[in-house]
Amino acid sequence: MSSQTSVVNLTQTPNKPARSESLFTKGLRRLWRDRLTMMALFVILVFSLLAIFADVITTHILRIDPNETNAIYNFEPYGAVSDLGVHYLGTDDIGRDQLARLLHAGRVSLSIGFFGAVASLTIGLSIGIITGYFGGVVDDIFNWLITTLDSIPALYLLILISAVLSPTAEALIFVIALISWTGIARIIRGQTLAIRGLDYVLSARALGASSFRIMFAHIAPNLISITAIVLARGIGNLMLAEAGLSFLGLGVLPPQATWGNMLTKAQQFLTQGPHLIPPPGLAIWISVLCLYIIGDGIRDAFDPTQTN
Amino acid sequence: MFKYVVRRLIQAIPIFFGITLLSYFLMAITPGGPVAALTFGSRMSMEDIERFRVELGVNDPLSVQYIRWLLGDDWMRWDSDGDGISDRAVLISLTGPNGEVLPPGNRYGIIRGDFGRSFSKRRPVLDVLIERLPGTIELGVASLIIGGTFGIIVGVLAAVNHRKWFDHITRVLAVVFDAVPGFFFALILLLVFAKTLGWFPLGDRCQTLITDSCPPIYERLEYMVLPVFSLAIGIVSGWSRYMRASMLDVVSQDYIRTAHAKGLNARQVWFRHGMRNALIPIATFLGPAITGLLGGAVITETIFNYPGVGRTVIEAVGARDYPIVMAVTVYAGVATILGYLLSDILYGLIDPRIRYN
Repeated sequence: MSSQTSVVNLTQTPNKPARSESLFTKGLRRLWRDRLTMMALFVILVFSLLAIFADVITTHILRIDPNETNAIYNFEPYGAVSDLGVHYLGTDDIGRDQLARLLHAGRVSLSIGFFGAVASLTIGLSIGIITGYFGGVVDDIFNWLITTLDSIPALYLLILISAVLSPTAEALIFVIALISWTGIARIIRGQTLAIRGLDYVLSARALGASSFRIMFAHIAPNLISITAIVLARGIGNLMLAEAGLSFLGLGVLPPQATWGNMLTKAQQFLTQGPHLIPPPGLAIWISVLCLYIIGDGIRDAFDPTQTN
Repeated sequence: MFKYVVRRLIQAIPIFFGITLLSYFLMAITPGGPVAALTFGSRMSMEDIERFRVELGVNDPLSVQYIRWLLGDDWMRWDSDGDGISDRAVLISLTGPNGEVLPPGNRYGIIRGDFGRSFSKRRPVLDVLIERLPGTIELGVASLIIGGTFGIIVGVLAAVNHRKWFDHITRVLAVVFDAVPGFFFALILLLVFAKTLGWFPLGDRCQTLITDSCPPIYERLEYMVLPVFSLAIGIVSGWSRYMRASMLDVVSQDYIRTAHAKGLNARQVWFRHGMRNALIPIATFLGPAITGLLGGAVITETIFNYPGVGRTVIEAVGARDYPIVMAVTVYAGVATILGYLLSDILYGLIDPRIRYN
């Protein structure tokens, strides 16, 4: 009986042709409904806005310069008042306002994470697609390079390069990108290898598409969701790397504040200034956590095996 | 199996060369170089410095310098008739700038374990490393055992209690602690448990004695608690997630259904049939875990003032002590290669489905 009804249903012309929804829009809709991911996205957005407008906020609202020292008012607790104004997050060992520094540090930390991840993604994506597509000697050479780079802990490499070049914040972005593209390249290479053998790629080649066109017009668009996941996690990882490096006194150097180097001297001042530790530490932790959640959220939303 | 190990070792050779090339040329492009670091502030005349440069070999082409560092120079300039004066030379010159005969090469190269002399400590690099290695190894092994055990237990319990509160809470905690910056976590531990509560020492490997050595581990456990905890937390959060996924994967297999159908009790099925098979993929984590621990050691050892390889790197970078920095980079690379090899071998040994041929 039931098979008969379905046959009847099939033969009926529907009044409105059902709009076929692409996987991408379906994924976006699922993402929109995922409250945790949306919350994380909101937090990152707020952090980014605070970082972008750090200048405006410190000069017009707080009226405190992040690098102005004040020897009399050092190690002031949260909410202390000095002749400069209110120090909502207190002051450090040379009397600099911690809230103003935190805002300016966020600008450096977030942009190193973001631009570093974009740069390493660009390198990793191109190398991954090219090696996965061509294989052969190119693949072997890059495989050797990737395995070599992966064999040295990233922090050692970063320490080594920072010690040699003592990079500025801008240069550090490239240094970090040059080290951290290997993981992305590996993933993309694997995906490209899988896609390369699919029928639609073969038909594109049969129609005479060039290798370049196949790689970037036919294969790359299929890597968008994995790219988004890698980007979100990558920003988080690079922020952790930069923070660790700056904490060790090898990354971005003071007076330019980053969330990492605000904690460099925290250990020395464990007695006088324990209040200096939580704000920058929590700022990194929360940002990285939100970025990881966003990465996981995108992965779940765009997983083609998921059904709604 | 033996064939596989040999093949993997042969495959590791180009990677080893890659690591040495990378660490050498990064150091070679350093402004000033080793001569500036060695002669800075000393009262050497220009001639002495020039002679010193020739003896150190920094005037040679970079490729020759790299080969000297890698393979040594005792075969580059040597004494063939036994009178103590060198008379034969390949690749490098026999005589100095003023025509005097230079002494025979005395370097053996890192291949033969000669990492040169430390600039700042004025003794062989290998001695410094061997002295500092136990600190890193004891922290690494302890946190691997403790973190791994806890991670596996938490992962199994989360899978057994799938979609119950224990599962939800541990999953959230795993994400939260995956994102924590290592140094921040360590600082908080110091602040709370050492500074405020006074339960543990603020740092160091043991009570500082006049002699530079420490008593056996069991007499100074309190010094290890905080550093091991801060290293292990990352392992717990990572491994518990993988163990949970692996366990859920295994319990959906047919042989688990068979075990249930045979009438075995749930505990036996979960732990004898489920967990033992779910553990297999965990073996592949050993390699990455070693890299992670070596990286984490830099920060942990610096914060807890623990004399290990990680802190040695930071000290060496500060002192521009390149031989040490290069040696540690090579050592970290070799440790990682061996770690990956070890986890692949383990994987093959415990999983009968894997055949290496």
